[in-house]
Amino acid sequence: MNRSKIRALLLLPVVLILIFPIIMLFANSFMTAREIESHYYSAETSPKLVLIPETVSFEQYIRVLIKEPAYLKYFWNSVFITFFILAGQLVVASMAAFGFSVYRFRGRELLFFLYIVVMMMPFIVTLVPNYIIAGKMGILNRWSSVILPGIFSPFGVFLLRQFMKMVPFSYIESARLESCSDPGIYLRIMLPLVKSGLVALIILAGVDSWNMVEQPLIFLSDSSRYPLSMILSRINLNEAGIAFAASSLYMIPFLLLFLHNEKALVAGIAMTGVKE
Amino acid sequence: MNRRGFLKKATWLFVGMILFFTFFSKTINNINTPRVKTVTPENGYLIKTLRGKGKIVPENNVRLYLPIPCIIDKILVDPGEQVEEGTALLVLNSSMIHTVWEEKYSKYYETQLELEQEKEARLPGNSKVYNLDELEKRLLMASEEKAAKEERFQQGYLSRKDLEEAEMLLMEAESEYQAAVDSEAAGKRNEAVRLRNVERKISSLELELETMTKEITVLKSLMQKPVFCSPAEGTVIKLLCNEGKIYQIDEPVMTLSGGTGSLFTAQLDRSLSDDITPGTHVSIFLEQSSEIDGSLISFSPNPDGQTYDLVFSVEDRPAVGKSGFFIMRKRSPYYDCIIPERALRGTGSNRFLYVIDEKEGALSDSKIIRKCNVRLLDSGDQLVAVSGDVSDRAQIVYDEDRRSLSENMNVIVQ
Repeated sequence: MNRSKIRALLLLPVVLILIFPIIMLFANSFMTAREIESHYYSAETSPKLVLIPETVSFEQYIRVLIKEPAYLKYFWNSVFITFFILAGQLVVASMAAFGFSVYRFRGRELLFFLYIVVMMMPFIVTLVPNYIIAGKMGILNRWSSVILPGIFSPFGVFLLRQFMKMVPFSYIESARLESCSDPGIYLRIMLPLVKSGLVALIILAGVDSWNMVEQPLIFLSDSSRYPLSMILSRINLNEAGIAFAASSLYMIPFLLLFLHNEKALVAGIAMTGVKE
Repeated sequence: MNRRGFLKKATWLFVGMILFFTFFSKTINNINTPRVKTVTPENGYLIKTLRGKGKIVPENNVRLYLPIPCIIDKILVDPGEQVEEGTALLVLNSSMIHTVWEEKYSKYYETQLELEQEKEARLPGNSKVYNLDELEKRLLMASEEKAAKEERFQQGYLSRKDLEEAEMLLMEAESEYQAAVDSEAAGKRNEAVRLRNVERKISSLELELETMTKEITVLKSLMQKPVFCSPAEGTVIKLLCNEGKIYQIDEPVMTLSGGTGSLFTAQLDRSLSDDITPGTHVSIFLEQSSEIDGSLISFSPNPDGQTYDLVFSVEDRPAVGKSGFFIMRKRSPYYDCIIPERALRGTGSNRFLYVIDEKEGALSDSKIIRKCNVRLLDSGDQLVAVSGDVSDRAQIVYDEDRRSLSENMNVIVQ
């Protein structure tokens, strides 16, 4: 047995442990309400982990997609919030990263260091200032209170700066010699060259926004504006069936996006560790 | 199919599915889910309207009944004796008349007191008043003060703390105003339900008082002169009573024949004849005539055992042989839970209601059908009185569309 096979054998249990909840989620979403009840909240027996449904049923999906139309409303709330965060972040982060990688100015490294520091901070640290600022701006309980902090996330700047650093500076100099303006360099040279970085940012920042719970919880008081991630976190054991189906559907958009752009994502994650 | 093509198709399929269900899930749901109409139980009395066909007959043999339950002290007439209208027939026990009078009189005053209390309860002054004008003024003042302080703060004459205080005051005023508006709306709804119940009770009590007034008038005249007089001219056919015995109001005391007046005779199903008593007022509608007042003189079971023969006196003297129908309204005892008859399901001892339970879910609240076993106490015109585990705020299903309901079913309440 060669080394790669031994490594695979050793990693297999870890992979199984990691993937088990997702398999269970998908498998259980095809169970009937009665079966879920008997497995998870029967008064007589303690909960059992069952993977294969006795009868394959679409009851939970029908319930989520047809009988509970609110699900789709919250789904579109998530889409809306994520779309605007990503769109904003792509514009803001790519411009900031362009500045950090192309322009030479005093304090550039210090400023970038501050970006890294802010990025390292957990969300909860900036919660109170963000809340106060949102209050002063009069955007509490509006989607913009969730979207704006998301747009100005430092992670995007950090990631794209790493990609842009890989672009040889001679490209920029050549463009300048050809009288290309800075916006032209940004749009015609830099952005096409860091396309994979942009895709990686879409996936990484998108997953973050798609799964956000704390921000809507703090900034939005009107539950009709909540994203679906917030609602899913409130589902209790009595609605386990809905949770399985709703969570399965909720995973699909980013699963497809990931499968479409798997290589770009891997490159993006690898790039965050590249040194100049 | 290559991987990329498959992923592309899967993506379009997912997007298509989500869009389809976004636009059509409500429609599909509306088609599939039964819609129901609900009511909340009420308290009060059931009114039972009895109707029957009959005709005008010459006043012949009539059974006479005492107006109150009483002991007969002395019989003043013999069979075959000719009597005029107002001739004394029986001497009634005066002490028993007095006892009945006292009972009726105290009941009369109790009912009158109850009626007054209900009338007081009808007054709007009893509901809580939310001083919205005052709160609105306060809100306006707080808002103006905040604006003024904000201006002064921007000019640098005021500290941030003072401005924040003004903001706090404004928020407080806003929340108080909003709470008052909400409370007022809820209060108005409850008040409307309460007033409806009060109105029902008042009309029932007034009806009861009217009947009692008549009874008391009869009792007063009996107290002055404890004799039972002949209601019409005729001949005593048969005595059906004995001296010293107590007779109830539905027990005939003698049969009288003759008379020149008219009577209205009708038949009524035996199952509907419970609780009817002589003296009950009725409206009689004869062909090509307007409404005639009458009152029940006697009722007796038919030999077939299925029907009762009812005899009513009529105030006018309509032509003999005219047919028509009567309407008699009876009031039931007081019940706590009155619902539409349509809401009651099942038969015999398996009577039940479908009650809506609101189940709070993470995605949305659902309305679920629950079966609630009840016992039928009484029935009136389209309403029934039931007892069982039904709260006074329960939403009871009384109508549904499309398909029959069953327990744990999801429904849309209209």
